[in-house]
Amino acid sequence: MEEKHAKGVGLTANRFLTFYLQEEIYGVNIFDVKEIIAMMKTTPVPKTPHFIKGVMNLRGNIIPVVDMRIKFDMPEIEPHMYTSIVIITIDGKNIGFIVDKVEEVVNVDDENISLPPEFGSNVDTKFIKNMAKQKNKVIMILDLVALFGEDELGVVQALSKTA
Amino acid sequence: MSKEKLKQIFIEEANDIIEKMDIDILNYEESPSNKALLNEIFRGVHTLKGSANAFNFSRLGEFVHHFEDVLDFFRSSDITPSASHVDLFLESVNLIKETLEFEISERSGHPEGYEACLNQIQKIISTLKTTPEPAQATITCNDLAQEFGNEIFDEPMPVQRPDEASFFERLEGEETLYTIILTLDSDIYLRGFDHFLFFKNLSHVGRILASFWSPIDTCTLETFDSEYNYFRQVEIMYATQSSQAQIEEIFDFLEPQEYRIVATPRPTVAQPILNVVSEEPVEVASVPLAKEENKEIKAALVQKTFLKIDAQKLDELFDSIGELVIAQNYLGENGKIKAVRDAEVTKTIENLSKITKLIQNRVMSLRMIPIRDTFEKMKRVVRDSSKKVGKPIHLVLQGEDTEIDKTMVEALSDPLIHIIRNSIDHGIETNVEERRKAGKSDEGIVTLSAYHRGGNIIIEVKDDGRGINKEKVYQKALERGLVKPEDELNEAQIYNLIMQPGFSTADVISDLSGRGVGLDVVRTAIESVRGKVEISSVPNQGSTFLIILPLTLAIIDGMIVRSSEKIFIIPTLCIIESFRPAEDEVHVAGSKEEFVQLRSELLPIVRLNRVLELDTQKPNAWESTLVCIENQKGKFALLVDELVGRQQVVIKTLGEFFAKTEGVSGGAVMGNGEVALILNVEELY
Repeated sequence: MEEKHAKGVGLTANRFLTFYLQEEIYGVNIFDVKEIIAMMKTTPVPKTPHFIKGVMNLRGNIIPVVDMRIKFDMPEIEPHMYTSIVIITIDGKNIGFIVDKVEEVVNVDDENISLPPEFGSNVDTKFIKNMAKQKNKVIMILDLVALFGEDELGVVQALSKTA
Repeated sequence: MSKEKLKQIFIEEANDIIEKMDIDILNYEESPSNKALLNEIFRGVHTLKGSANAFNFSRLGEFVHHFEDVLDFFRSSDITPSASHVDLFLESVNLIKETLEFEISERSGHPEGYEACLNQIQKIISTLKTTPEPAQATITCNDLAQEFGNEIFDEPMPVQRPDEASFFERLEGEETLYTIILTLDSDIYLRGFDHFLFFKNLSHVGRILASFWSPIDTCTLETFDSEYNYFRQVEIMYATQSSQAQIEEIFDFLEPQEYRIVATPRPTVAQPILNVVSEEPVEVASVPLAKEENKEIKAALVQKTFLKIDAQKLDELFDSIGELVIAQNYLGENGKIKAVRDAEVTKTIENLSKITKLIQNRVMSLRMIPIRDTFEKMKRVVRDSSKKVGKPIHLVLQGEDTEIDKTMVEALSDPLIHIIRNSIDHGIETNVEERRKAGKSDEGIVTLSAYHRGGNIIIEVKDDGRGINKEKVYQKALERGLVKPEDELNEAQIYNLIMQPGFSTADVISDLSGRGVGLDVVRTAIESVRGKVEISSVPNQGSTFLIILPLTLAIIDGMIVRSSEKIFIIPTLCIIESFRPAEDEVHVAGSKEEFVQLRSELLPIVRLNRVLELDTQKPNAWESTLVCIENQKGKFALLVDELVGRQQVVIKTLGEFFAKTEGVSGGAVMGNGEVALILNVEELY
């Protein structure tokens, strides 16, 4: 997966699924997206970090669901008709991400992709891999491995290892 | 198929054969008159030899070759192997196993004892063969030509051809006598055929009464070519109900001039037989033996029509069935559909539910295998341990046909070995006098049984030894600091102490057990498959280890409870009872600790919502439901809002993300499609 990101050549590498959190647009590499489903009920798991909304049933498999708003320190809101869960595959595991609204799939030319600025976003910049300019909008491309890669998983495990 | 893949298949097969050989040898020891069993062992070794050489596993090939010789000797003589021979057989199987490992890992050299065992095998052959018939003596030689018994050719024994009429006497029912003449070309082996292939196929549809082989001028050892067919002509007397056309099908792949099938009518009119060119034909296969063997092969073929399936695929199928069950439940519980009061709809939904259940059961049964193989393996364990500690032991097996989840079988083997060794080493009296005094037989009896009880599978290991000395166990546990003097323990808890890490009551650490790791491993292994171990014992009558396992790994019987508006599942296996206490039975120690009086016991109250940090509410215990749960540490009363019901649930892991989340062991998808968490009772208190 790392390699795919690193190459960054051609159209295919620059296809992103964009979605809204509050007023901001974020993007993830379309190849990491397994599917998008409507918001559904999740079961909270005790003694896990707050941003982990719980688990849900994805056609018989139980997968964790993360509330992106909480993860990015945004105010929680009640789910509405646009609230969706984006199922993303990280290291072969499926994880659901709750987002405010899924927008579209976009192709971005290489020259419109730049490194993230040091400030100016609600989100800790270590989760932002790139900024992509598209028409008059700016899309923040998320680095999922940084977001939920080994480090974060490690934190979750360490929390519960006190058993 | 790549060579690597073929090799992988060979290794798998070889392991199966070796495992089976072990069991067969032990069974053969019990009934030495059973030649069929010996033949079975021989066949296994023979297959192994062939494949080993094909993969250039020369060390394995060499060893197996000699082992085969010994077996062949016993197979074809009336001599029954002695106990020491059987020991050698078993030792050989061990070495085959080790040699195979050497070959697989491409290590050089030979495993320990390889040479010694090989020497012993050769010694057996040379001492035994001095007595029997001369023909057999040649078998044991390494020389290929002699192995084939070429002296038969040197001094041809003229075989008197039986009269034609004698064959007609042996016809049964509607059978017709055929004479089949095979004049196979000399390159027949290179074309992938040999005479025996046709013999085998012929015996599927009829009986071979006799065969006459006419070899070409016998060759010398120097010129012998194993890929050259030296039999110019083979004449087969064949009895069958099939038509000539059907027989011809068997020879479809041969050139037309290579075979001739002639139906021989009954000699109402005396008819001369065909002019067979046969200079000193040799009758090879003795009729009854050939017939019997062929029948056996056929029976084995019918029995073993197994299909090897990747376990992964089976799991995927199982997952899909799980989804189907959930979807079907959803349909069944859907209010809108229920509102449609239509007989057709109701019927269809009921039908669907039935079929779904059926599919579920069938898929489940695919994973279930009889526990027999695991039990049979224990024979070897008992035999070895019995020899090692010098106590005669009789192993009794019961309920070997009980079926158990495949994954569980694998996890069960080691714990069973540990328990059995422990029983033999510590349980059974060392002194026969001691046994006699207690009115027991000289032979220690270990009983291994499997049966169903209340939705669980129980594996029981029972010995008739001296029982577990409770006092000694308790003292030892005190010494080792496993218990505190102020702890009050009941009988079961004391017995459970012997499964604590670092516990061993044996005064002398023996080779078998007593390192104080064994029984601890047992507990961990059984718990990993969601089972539990119970120990009971009666002084001087023996001890019993009960392994209680869920029917399958995938499904548990769960009690559904509600706490703070959320649903949780408690495995029913851990629940003793549930009750609502009276107000005066609830006691509060200090300001926090709560206890409840249940009959004569005082149990700590554990509030589920507090343990899981769901909320901070604190309803009165006498207005809630208490579930009495037993875990490793003892009993406690879990306080929940209410019991919802009992249900079979399909266990799903929560995945790495939640690995080791305290208090939760997994999740299950409920009828409404939502996930409920399964509680891990060991971590609640």
